[in-house]
Amino acid sequence: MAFRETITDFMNSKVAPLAQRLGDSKYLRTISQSMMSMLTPLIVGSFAVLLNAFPVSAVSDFIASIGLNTVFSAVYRCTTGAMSLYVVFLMAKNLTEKLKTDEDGTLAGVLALMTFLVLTPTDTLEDGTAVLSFTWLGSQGVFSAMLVGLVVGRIYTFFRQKGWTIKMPSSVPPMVTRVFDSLFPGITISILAILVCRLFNATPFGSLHQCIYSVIQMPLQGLGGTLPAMILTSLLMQLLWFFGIHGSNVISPIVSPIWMAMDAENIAALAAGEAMPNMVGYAFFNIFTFSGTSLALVMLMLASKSKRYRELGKVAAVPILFGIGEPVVFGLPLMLNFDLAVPLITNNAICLAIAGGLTYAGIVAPCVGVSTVFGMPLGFFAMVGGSVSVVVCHLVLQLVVAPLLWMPWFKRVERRELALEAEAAEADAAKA
Amino acid sequence: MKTIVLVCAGGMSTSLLMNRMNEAAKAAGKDVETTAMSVEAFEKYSGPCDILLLGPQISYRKPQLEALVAPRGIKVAVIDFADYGMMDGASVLDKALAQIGA
Repeated sequence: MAFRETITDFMNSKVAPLAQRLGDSKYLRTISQSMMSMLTPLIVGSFAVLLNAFPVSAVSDFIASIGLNTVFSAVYRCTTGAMSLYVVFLMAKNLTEKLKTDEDGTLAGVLALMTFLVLTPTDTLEDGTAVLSFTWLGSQGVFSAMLVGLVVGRIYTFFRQKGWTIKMPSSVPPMVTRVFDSLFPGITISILAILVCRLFNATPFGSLHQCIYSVIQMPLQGLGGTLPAMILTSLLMQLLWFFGIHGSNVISPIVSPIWMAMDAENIAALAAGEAMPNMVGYAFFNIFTFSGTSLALVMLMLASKSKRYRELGKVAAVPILFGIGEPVVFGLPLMLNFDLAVPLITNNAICLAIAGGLTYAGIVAPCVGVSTVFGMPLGFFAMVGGSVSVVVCHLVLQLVVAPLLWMPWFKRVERRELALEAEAAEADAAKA
Repeated sequence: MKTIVLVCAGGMSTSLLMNRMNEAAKAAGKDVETTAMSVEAFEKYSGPCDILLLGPQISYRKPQLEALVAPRGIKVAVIDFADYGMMDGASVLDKALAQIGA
């Protein structure tokens, strides 16, 4: 068993500290927390688009006939279509509150929003009306928003930590002093924003947003937004789960901004009545790796001859329908269980490959990019995919493919478990 | 009255355990309240807490959370993974109470 000891040792000495370092990173936690807060506006926006572009034309025609389609378009534009405005605020607020726990980050958020808007190119119509284009407020500006939010949050906290402020005589009321406390970092940040804005105006990019979009966001989406990259990511996540570490929680802050931006691009295309630009995205990943395929394993356990597996199956059955897999991971257990390691690590990847292949072949429609809601039960979870073929593919993967993938490995451990139970029963009989 | 706080990534799987532990405490007539939340929520939580229990899937966050609650004298422990898997509320409750000597 030296091999197993080596692996366990490797886990304790290398994997756990790495996961801990990632989990400790205040920046990564800020990104993940902020993206999670975005779910509500993103879902509202997605549904507005879905209703306008409803697959059944009777529904979309009715919505148009009562004039709701323009309202829905406005709802979409101010939610998903303006997601960068929310992101920049949340990033600065959350980072400030993480770096300096006794600080209210609201002002940092406001300053970040201000900076972002200063950096966004504005225009003037022929009649003299000043306009702000939505170009950079939606998915295209997300990475710029993240960066601006984090930098402003960091600078703001730096000022507050140093206690740099305009000193007031002690007779000045504390409320007034507090105004000056925030004015100093505010003015400094706005001067920086003006300088950066002017600097990028002088480059061929024209604005910071365009620069970040071309230099960072596009290459990252090209690299991380492909099916092979997604499959690799899922293998890594599942490997962490094998070590008993919440893999999705460790990895998703790194990949979710890329995938969520791609989902937002798909929704934008749907709103504009164009073809989906991205085959994969966060919704695609979540829909086709629902429950880490352990729902299938619970089904096998419920049907098992082993008493312990049936008991565990009952405990795990309801949670797993809602995508909560911890009882299986720790109860069976899957954690550090070498007999089930292969399906645990590879099943998600296989499901993603199958779903990707079917989407590529045009058999399954691409996911329209509506955010999935964790906690929605099996089947319903996939409805945000926006078409019946996505739901069917999700159900077939969960209820047919995944059980087949688990079966041979599960049968092996079940045989051993049954032998153990028979032994225990014999021992009991001998005692009686 | 003792308070046990359970945390996991999203506060979802620990909320299952929370129900089981509250049932177990009621059945045993123990004056214990168990509550569950996400790690992010706990970082802002300032309510009562005698012991903080981590879901095994986020045991890697233990050192950081220990540092966070050390000034408040709160004990931190990782829930036994077998108990967690079986959602064994009574066992987790007994082990937690033994740790805080109640």
